[in-house]
Amino acid sequence: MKSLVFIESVKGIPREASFESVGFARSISDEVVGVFIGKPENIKGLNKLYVFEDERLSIPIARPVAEVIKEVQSKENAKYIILPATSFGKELGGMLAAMFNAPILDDFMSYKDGVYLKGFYSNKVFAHIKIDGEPLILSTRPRAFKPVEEDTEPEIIKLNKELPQELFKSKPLEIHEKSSEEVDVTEADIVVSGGRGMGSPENYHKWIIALRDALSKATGLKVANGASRAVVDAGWVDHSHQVGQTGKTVSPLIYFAIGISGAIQHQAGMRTSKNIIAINKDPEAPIFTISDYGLVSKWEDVLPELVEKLEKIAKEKV
Amino acid sequence: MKVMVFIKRVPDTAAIIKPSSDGKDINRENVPFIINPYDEFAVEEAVKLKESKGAETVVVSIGGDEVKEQLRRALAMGIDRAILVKHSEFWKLNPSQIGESIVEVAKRENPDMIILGKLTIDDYTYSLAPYVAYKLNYNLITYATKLEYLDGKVKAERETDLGNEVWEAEFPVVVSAERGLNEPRLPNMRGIMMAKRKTIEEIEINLPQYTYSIETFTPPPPRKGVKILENVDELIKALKEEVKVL
Ligand SMILES: Cc1cc2nc3c(=O)[nH]c(=O)nc-3n(C[C@H](O)[C@H](O)[C@H](O)COP(=O)(O)OP(=O)(O)OC[C@H]3O[C@@H](n4cnc5c(N)ncnc54)[C@H](O)[C@@H]3O)c2cc1C
Ligand SMILES: Nc1ncnc2c1ncn2[C@@H]1O[C@H](COP(=O)(O)O)[C@@H](O)[C@H]1O
Repeated sequence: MKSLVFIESVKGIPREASFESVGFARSISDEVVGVFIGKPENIKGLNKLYVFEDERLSIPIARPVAEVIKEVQSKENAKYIILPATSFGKELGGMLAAMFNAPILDDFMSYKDGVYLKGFYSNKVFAHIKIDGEPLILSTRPRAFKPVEEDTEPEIIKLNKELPQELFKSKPLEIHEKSSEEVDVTEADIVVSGGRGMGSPENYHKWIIALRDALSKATGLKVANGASRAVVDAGWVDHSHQVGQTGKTVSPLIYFAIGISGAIQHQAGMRTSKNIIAINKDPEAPIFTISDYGLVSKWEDVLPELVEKLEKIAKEKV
Repeated sequence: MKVMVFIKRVPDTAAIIKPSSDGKDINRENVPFIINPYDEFAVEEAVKLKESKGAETVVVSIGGDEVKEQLRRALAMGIDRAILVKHSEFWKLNPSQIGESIVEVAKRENPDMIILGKLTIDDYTYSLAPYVAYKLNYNLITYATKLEYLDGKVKAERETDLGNEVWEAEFPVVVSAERGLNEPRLPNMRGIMMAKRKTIEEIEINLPQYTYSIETFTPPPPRKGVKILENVDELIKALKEEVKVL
């Protein structure tokens, strides 16, 4: 069985989530074909790679990219079309379902013996789903699958196709990218979230950011700062950092909840994290019921010392 | 201008959700239901367009009789007309099937703009706005946090996992609403009374069949329970020896 994987990239660099999609594709198919927009470098795990270049696609736009995939699919006739469930991947997936009149399963987190597992009702329950189609559109939840490791040298095929201008009728005018050191909460290995208990935006920006940066230096991992809705509503930090039912769903290796009570809507976005560490002065706070480690303290008594000790560890490492 | 919004009935965000005893569904007893929060932004946006530009507004939901509750709420917020696409157990449908229903109703109504939510908080898919845009050959703007209406086109701010962007698209257009787009109003008494008097048009649509079924629902795997740490050194030790990141 063959899989076609869309390798999403940012400024020419493939996103890690794409290699997780390839990793999953490898586990269910014997041949994996990739599609890449731009100039490919360091693309792992594929048998074949179709490459398409068009300067109008330096920012990906779903409608024309769908057309590129259609072209590849007409040659390859893959059984599975697999994408990472990033903002763009989810959008492209819906479009491909329409294009191929195919069923779609978005943002699933594991697969075994013909059954897919996906969080429903904000991860309050897990659904075990059977789905099939020719093709079948699947998007893999970021961080739920192991990225592919095999370093195969794919056969590269250049696609020569003129995309008509009418496919570019919805188009970006301005992009305000995150600065390169800023990691999105969905992609981070560690998320440090602060809530109303931080007391003020100044405290949030001083201490949550200090812990984020100290952890990043001490572990070498990707660390992002997150927030509860209470502090997003109060304007301390913008909505892209909000974790929860009306924010983002994250499953990092470590999730720090600091001054966050752990309302059910917040839990919805972070309960699948591998390790949850809560710092809260209230021993009855619901966040402790889903945490792995808890410090029942005021953050003021924890963060300065923790940041200092992590910085020391970071210095010893270099 | 004609604007259509599509809303789904979903369990309240605060509801406790457990699998039913046979595991085939969730336990729906005593669960309060609401308009999917993102769809409420869509409704509010349409009502604002009616107020500012005199747009004709239509709300649609696919579901059983129970979804009339949510349709009436949208009418009470100020939407002109409501359509119910009859389908019992609509929560068991694949997004592609819902997509076909949306496309069918939209073809009958021919709107200039369709606003959907960016996702539904029950099954967490994001597929419908792009699905519908493709099938209707409308332009598409997803994850909109701000909309500005210009001559013959919309300009939108959007939020993705890569940052914030400004996009532009000509009508007809499908937009998916992200939080931040607006603050949905609470219906007032007058709106509620008017909504009660309106008739909800009911239609039926045949759906394509797919191999798709939810076999069971299970609770999430239990977490191992909290270990209370006494001080920062114990936390560092746990990060070193148990989580192994230092
Ligand atoms: C439709 C809907 C959707 C929602 N979506 C989301 C969502 O996506 N994400 C989300 O987060 N919420 C969401 N909410 C809101 C949610 O219900 C809570 O109101 C919110 O999560 C509370 O944020 P918080 O924990 O920061 O604040 P609080 O609940 O006020 O908790 C503050 C905590 O800080 C602790 N604290 C205070 N001082 C200190 C100190 N000095 N040191 C240590 N701890 C301290 C307190 O003990 C308390 O536990 C939603 C609500 C609704 C109705
Ligand atoms: N049963 C339904 N009836 C009407 N609209 C729906 C229904 N299901 C989904 N939608 C619309 O499609 C959007 C995205 O849904 P989804 O892609 O399934 O998360 C929702 O926010 C609604 O606007």
